Amino acid sequence: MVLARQRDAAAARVPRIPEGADPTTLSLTPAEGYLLSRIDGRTSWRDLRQIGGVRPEDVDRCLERWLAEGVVELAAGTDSGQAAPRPTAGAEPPRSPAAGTERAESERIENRPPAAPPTAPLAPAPAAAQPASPALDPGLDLPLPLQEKLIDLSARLEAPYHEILGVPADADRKALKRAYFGLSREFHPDRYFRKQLGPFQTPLERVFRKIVEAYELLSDPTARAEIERSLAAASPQGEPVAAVPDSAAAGPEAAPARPRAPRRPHVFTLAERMRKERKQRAKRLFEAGMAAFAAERWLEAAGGVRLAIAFDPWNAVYKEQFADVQRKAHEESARKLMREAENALDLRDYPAALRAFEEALPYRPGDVALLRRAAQLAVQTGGDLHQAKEWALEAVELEPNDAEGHRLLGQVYQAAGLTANARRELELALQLDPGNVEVRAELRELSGGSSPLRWLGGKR
Amino acid sequence: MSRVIGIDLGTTNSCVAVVDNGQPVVIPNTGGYKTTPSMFALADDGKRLVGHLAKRQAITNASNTVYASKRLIGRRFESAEVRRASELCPYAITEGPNGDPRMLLGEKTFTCAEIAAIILREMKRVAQEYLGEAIREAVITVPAHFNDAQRQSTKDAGKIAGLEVLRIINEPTAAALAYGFGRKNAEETVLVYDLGGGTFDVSILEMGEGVLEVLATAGDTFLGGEDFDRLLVNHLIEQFEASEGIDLRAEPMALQRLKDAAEKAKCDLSGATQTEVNLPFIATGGDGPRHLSVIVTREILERLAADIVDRTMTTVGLCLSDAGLSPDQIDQVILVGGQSRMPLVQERVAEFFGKRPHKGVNPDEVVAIGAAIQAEALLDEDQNMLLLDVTPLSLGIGTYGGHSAKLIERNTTLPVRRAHVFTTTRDNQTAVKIRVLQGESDIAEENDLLGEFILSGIREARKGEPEVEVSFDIDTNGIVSVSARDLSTGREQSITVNATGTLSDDEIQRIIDENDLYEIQVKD
Ligand SMILES: Nc1ncnc2c1ncn2[C@@H]1O[C@H](COP(=O)(O)OP(=O)(O)OP(=O)(O)O)[C@@H](O)[C@H]1O
Ligand SMILES: [Mg+2]
Repeated sequence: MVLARQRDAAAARVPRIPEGADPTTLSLTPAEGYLLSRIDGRTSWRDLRQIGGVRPEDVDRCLERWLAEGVVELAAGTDSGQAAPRPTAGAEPPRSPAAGTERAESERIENRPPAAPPTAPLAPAPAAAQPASPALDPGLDLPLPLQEKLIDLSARLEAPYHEILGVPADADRKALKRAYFGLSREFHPDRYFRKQLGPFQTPLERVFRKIVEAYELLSDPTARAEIERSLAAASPQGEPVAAVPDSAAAGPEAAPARPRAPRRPHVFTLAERMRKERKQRAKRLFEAGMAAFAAERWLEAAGGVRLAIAFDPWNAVYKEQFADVQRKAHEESARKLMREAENALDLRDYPAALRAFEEALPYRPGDVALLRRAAQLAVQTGGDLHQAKEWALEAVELEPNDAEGHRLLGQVYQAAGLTANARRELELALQLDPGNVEVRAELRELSGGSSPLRWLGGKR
Repeated sequence: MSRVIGIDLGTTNSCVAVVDNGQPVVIPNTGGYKTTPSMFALADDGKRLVGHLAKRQAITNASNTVYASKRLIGRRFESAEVRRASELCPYAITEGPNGDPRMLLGEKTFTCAEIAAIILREMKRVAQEYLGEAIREAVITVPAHFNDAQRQSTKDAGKIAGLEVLRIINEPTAAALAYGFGRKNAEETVLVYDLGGGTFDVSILEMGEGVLEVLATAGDTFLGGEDFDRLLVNHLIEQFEASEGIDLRAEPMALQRLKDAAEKAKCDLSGATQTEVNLPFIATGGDGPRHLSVIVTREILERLAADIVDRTMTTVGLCLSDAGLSPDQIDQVILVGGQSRMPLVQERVAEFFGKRPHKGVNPDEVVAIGAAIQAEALLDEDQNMLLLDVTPLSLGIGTYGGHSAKLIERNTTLPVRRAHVFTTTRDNQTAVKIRVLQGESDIAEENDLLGEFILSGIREARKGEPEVEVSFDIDTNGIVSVSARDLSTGREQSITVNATGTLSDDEIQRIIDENDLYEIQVKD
C-alpha cells in the first residue's frame, strides 16, 4: 500500500527521448505525434497529462507503451524497484459490464509483439487505461508473454471472479479446479523462487492472491450464489447469469459422487463482509473529501480521498479525483511550509527553516530555486552536507548550464572538504560565466589555502 | 551451484535426503543407518555427542543427554507442555531470559534452537560426507501444527547450523509430495496420517497436474510415540511398585532404562503378540538387588493406548469436516511416522475409511524425501511440482474484553495477506497496543500469544478518528509478519512479531560464533 506514494514519485519523473533515438521512424497518429512533440526532457509525466488535447489516461497508456518499447526513457532513477512509471490518477475502467471491450483490449496487448511499432490509435479506445503497471523488461527472469499477461491481469483484478479464472460463469467445480491449478502453476510465487522479477514482484503476488480468492469464493456455494446475484444485478440487461450449483451439473463426468459440504465457509463470509464495509466506508470518506474540496479546504480533501482509496483501492473515480485534489493539497502544503520557512528565517531559527524547506521540496518537484536555497542554507548554517549535496546536485541536473548552480555545488563540496570536486565545479561555473569575479576569487582561495588534510579528502 | 538437502528434523529420529539426477535418495549416515536419533549429549570430558553416539551412552549419562527436545522448541517455559515434559525427562530444564525453556547440561545451558541446530548440523555433515561437497541450503520440515514461534525457532536453528533455510514445509505435506512424485498425472484426494515420535498431523490434499493443494490440516503437536512409551513405562512402574514396593520414578537411570525397554517392547509388539521386558539390577531393595522381568502382551499395550489412538481418529474426523469431505471421498490414505506401524493404528484407520492404507511409502523416510523434492521444485524450473499449502492455525488479534478477533482463518491458502483498520478508543490517544494471537479460541487467553507491539506516533485526534491499517502476512513458511500504516499520514511502521520464547538476532549470532568451534569443515 505504499503504492500511492510510489506513484506520486513516478508522476514527478520526467520522460525524455533517449540520445540517438529517432522517433520520426515511428508511425504515429496525429494525437500521438503531438504528445511526442511535448516530450522535451523537462516536462514531467504529471504535467504531460495536463497539457490538454490528449486525455490523461491516453497520455499514460502511450507513455507506458513508449517506455516499454524504449521510445522514451525516464530521467533519474527509473529502475527504482516497484515504482510503477505511472501517475496518481490511475484511470481504471469503471467496473463496467463492458467485459467484451475489456477482453478485446487485453487480446490486443497479448498479441502485440514486444518490439512492434506503436501503431495503436490513441483516441478511439473508449474503456480507458490500465492501473499501475510496470514496463516490459526483457532483462527479467520472467518471459515477456508472462509479463504481458501479468500487466493485463493486474489491470483486471476487479473483473468478475470467473473471468479472473478464465472460466465460463457456469463452470463446475472440476473446471474451476483445473483452471485454478493451471493458473497457480503460472503465477504462484514459488515458480519464481529467487528469480529477478523487478517491478513485477508485487503484481505477481497480487495476481496470485486474487486467483486464490476467486477460486475459494467460487468453490463455496453460498458465496458463489451471492456473487452470481450481484453480477446479475450489475448486468445492464438485468438478465440473470446462469447459476449452476456444481451438484446439479449435468454430464457423466461433471457431477462428483455427492455434493460437497461447503468448504471453509467462514472465511468467505468474513471476507465478503469486510469488503462491503470497506467500500461503504470509502464512499463516506470520499464524499466528505469532495465536500472539503468544494470548500477549498485542500488538505482535508486530500486526506479524505486518500483514505477512500486506501479502503477501496480499485475505485477508478476516487483515483481520478485524487490527482486534482492532491495537486491542490500539495500547493497548499508547499505554501504553508514556505511561509513557515520565511518566518523561521526572520527569527534566525535556521534549523527550523531548513526543515521547512526540506518538507516543502517533495511538494515542489523540480523547483530549482527552492533546491538552491535549501542547499545554501545548509552550507551556511552547518546543516547536513550530504543532504545539501543532493539538493545542489539535483539543481545542477535540472539546469546544467547555469553557472550559479555549479558554483553552489562547488561551495557544498568545499564545505565538505572535497576540494577536488569543489575545484571542478567552480571551474565549470567559470567556463559558463567567464566574467564572474567572485567565482574566480573563490577558485584562487581554494588553490592557495588547501591544507594537506583537505587534499586527501578531495582525492577520495 | 551446490545441492540443497531436505531434512526431516524429527522428535526421535532425523533423516536427510537429496534429489540426485531427478531421483530422490535418502542419505545414510556413516553407520549405514538412514535415520539418526535426534539426541545430543555432553560427555564427562566435555565432548559433544550426537545421534547414535549420544543414544548409546544415554543410560549411563542420562542427565546430560537430551532427547525429544522438539517437544519444547518454540514453547514458553510456563506452558503446560514444558511442565509435563520436565516431570518426565532426566535432564534439567530451566527458564531462559526470554521465558523460553533451556536445557542444563553440565554447566552450560542450551536453547532448544541450539539443540536442534546441533542435530541439523549433524545431518548436514552426513550429507556432505556422502555427497562430497559443501552444503549450504536446506528445506526443513516441521509438524503441520507448529505455530509461528515453533517455526521461527526451527528456522533460527537452521541459521545456527550454518544452513540457509529455503523453506519450512509441513511434514504431512512433504509426505504427500513424495507420494505425488512420479504420479503427476493422477487426480486424487489423499489423506496423510502422520504419527511420529512426538507429534501427530493429518492433512488432506488434492493432487492433479503436478499441483498439490492442501485442503485442510489438523493435528496435535504433543501427541506421538513418546506418549505410548510413557504409558507403558507407567504401567511397568506401577507393576513393579505393586510387586516390589519400590518406586522407580525417583531414579533417573532406572527411568531411562525403563523408557528404552518400553520403546523396544512397543516396537516388538507391532510384530509379535507378546514380548519380555528384562531389566536386571534395576533397583536395590533393603535386601539386595532387584530385577524387573515381565511379559507384556499386545493386548495390554492396546488397552493402554486405545485412548490415544481414538484421539487421533477424532482429529482425522475434524480434518475431514474442515475439508468438507466424507471418508469415502478419500482415494488414498498414506501412513507416515514410525508409530503408524502399530497394528492397532492400521486397524482403526482401515475401519474408518473402509479401505487399507497405502503401502508404498517408507514411513521413516518419506518426509525427508518430500523435503528434498520441494527443494528441487523451488530451484529447478523443469520440476513441475507445485505445493499450495495452508496455514494450520487461525491468526487473530486481542480485542476489548479479552476476546480474539480472527483475521485469517485456519486452512487459508498461503501466502496470504489481510489488512485491517484500527482506531483509537480515547481522545488524543497516540499509541495502540496490538496483541497477535494464533489459535482457534474466541477467548484471547486460550490462544498462543505470538507477540504484542505498540503502534505509536498516531496523530492526536478525537477517539475513533485516526485510522491505522495493520496488515498481517503469513508467508509460505507459515511465518507471520505484521506491518502498520497510519492512513492519515501514510507513515509506515514495520513490526517484528518477536514471539515470546524465540531468540533475538544477537543471541543467534552469539550461538553461531560459539558453535563454530565445533564445525567440521568439508573441503569443496
Ligand atoms: N515398529 C514400530 N511399532 C510401533 N512404533 C514404532 C515402530 N517403529 C518406530 N516406532 C515409534 O515411532 C516413533 C518414531 O517415529 P518417527 O521416527 O517417525 O518420529 P519422528 O519423525 O522422530 O517424530 P515427529 O515426526 O513426531 O517429530 C517412536 O516413538 C518409535 O517408538
Ligand atoms: Mg516425523
